Amino acid sequence: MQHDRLSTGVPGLDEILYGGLIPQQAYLVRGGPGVGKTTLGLEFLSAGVAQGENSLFIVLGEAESQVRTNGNRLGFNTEAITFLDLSPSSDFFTEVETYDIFSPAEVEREPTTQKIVEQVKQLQPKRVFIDAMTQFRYLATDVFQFRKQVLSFLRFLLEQGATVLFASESSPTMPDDDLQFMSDGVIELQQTNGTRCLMVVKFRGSGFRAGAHTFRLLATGMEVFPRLQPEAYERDFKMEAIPSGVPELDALLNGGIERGTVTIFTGPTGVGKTTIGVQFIKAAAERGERSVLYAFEEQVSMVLHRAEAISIPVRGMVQRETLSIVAVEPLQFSPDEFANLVRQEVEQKQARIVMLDSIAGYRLSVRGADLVSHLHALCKYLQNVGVTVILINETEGITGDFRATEIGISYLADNIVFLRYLEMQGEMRKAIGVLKKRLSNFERTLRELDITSDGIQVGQPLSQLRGILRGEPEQVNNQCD
Amino acid sequence: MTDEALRPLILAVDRNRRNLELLTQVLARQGYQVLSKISLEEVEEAMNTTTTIKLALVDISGFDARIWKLCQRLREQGIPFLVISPQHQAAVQQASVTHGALGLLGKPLIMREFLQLIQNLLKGSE
Repeated sequence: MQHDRLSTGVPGLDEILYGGLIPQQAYLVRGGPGVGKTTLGLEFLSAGVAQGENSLFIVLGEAESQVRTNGNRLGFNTEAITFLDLSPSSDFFTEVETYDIFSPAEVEREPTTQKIVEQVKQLQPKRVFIDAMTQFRYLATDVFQFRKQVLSFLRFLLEQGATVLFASESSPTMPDDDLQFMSDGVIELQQTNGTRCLMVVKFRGSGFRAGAHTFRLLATGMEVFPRLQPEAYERDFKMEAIPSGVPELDALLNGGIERGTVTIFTGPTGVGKTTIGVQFIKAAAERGERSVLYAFEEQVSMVLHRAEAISIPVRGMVQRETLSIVAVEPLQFSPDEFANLVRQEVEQKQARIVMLDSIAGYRLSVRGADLVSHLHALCKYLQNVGVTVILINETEGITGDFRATEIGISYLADNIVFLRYLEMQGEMRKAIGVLKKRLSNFERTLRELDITSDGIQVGQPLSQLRGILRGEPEQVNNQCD
Repeated sequence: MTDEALRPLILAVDRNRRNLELLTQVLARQGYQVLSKISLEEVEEAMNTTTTIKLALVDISGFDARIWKLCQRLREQGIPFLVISPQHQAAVQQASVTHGALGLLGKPLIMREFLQLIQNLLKGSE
């Protein structure tokens, strides 16, 4: 946190705001009903309370008791927040408090203003949240009066030393463009098809991370997942090849796959792509490095069982925390949330290999559009921080014409390792080869691959065969006729 | 003579309690004495006992046709009065004038203009 910034109480939002809000400015929080404006206000005020600052919640819509009850349910200590309840009491209805002789603007503006001034002067709050400023619209006789009142009200609060967050309730018939102009910053909350996202569209005196960022309203409050900007992250690392621990496989790859690169293991179902990936993870664990495997298609128990069946001691690796296997349920995360999850593994738990099994699973499990660009950003980020990325890609055809991948993600890869089924002498066999390796030379021939209960076995180069990529190898006759 | 006795007395009639409160507050703030009445019976009683009413303000909303009898009585007693109504209907305007009102004011009243009018009327009646 920069020393001249004020935390919003939501770490992800602070990150988007390059450290937090600039003090003594007024910020508009806008969005439809139920999107999380009040929750953000409570986060903002609670962050102040945690630092011993006086925080004031000016309630103009919902009743104070209702805001407190809902806030307490989300784990906020609303007792520590001062409330100024200017919402109408039930008496307004039951005691027939309605009137029409004068306009509300003339009747209520003065007592409302007086209550606010008294409370602010007495409390001297460092943080004020107004929910919702649009209520003042009904206390103004015309647009000009409203604008003047809001500006002077905000100026009064800022002059008292407060930083102000104010909500607006806008609709197509009652837009809040005027409030957007009057504020120093605008935070927009949206909800589309069950996914909430947040955008900062204005922030006077500071840059901010543009674009839509996913957020969730959890039982513990608001959590924002900033969209990944790979260029914002960089870490020094040695561009060394990390071996698989299988000498023949490492020979094929000229020593292994490099740190900070993306490797796609591609091939048809059951050919051993995941197993090869896990083999690199096993070797990393032996060096004491941590890896994370995101399983989009299988349960954790299934991954453990399969790996142990071929003598890869994954349970021990999990116990020693050199491996974490995370099963991702369909539609569980947005791309931003998933990227945030990966970042935590990398930045907090020092993961050195991240494996996504598989790319198709990622596309099915992660909500939202434009998944290739999100995957691209995630891979670039991992590359920048020196993490080795392993992507598992399943191709449709068992044999036949060769294609590296089928969903247009080959460009992401620094290395493409392909696995194939071969029909040799009436028997189904497997082969492994390297199609692309950006950072070093590699073996141009294929090798036979066998996966047994003892582990992975890679044979000698299949240099006497041709037609392997078609899956119908033939013996090459070296003798000239 | 006390200060209070010097302040003009205004009769305010309104069926809506909150309206009556607001009207009374606004007039009292300007230094007028206000006789606030919510029902026709209360108004009748007040008119029987008070003779110093300088002006009456009658919000006709919520009253039945008997309100016009009250207006008639105000005229007979020489008390100038204004009719207040949410509607600017020609019929209401006609009835107000017929029963002797100085004018018809539409709600909501604009406070500053309203007070200026009261002041002018009271000055004129001095």
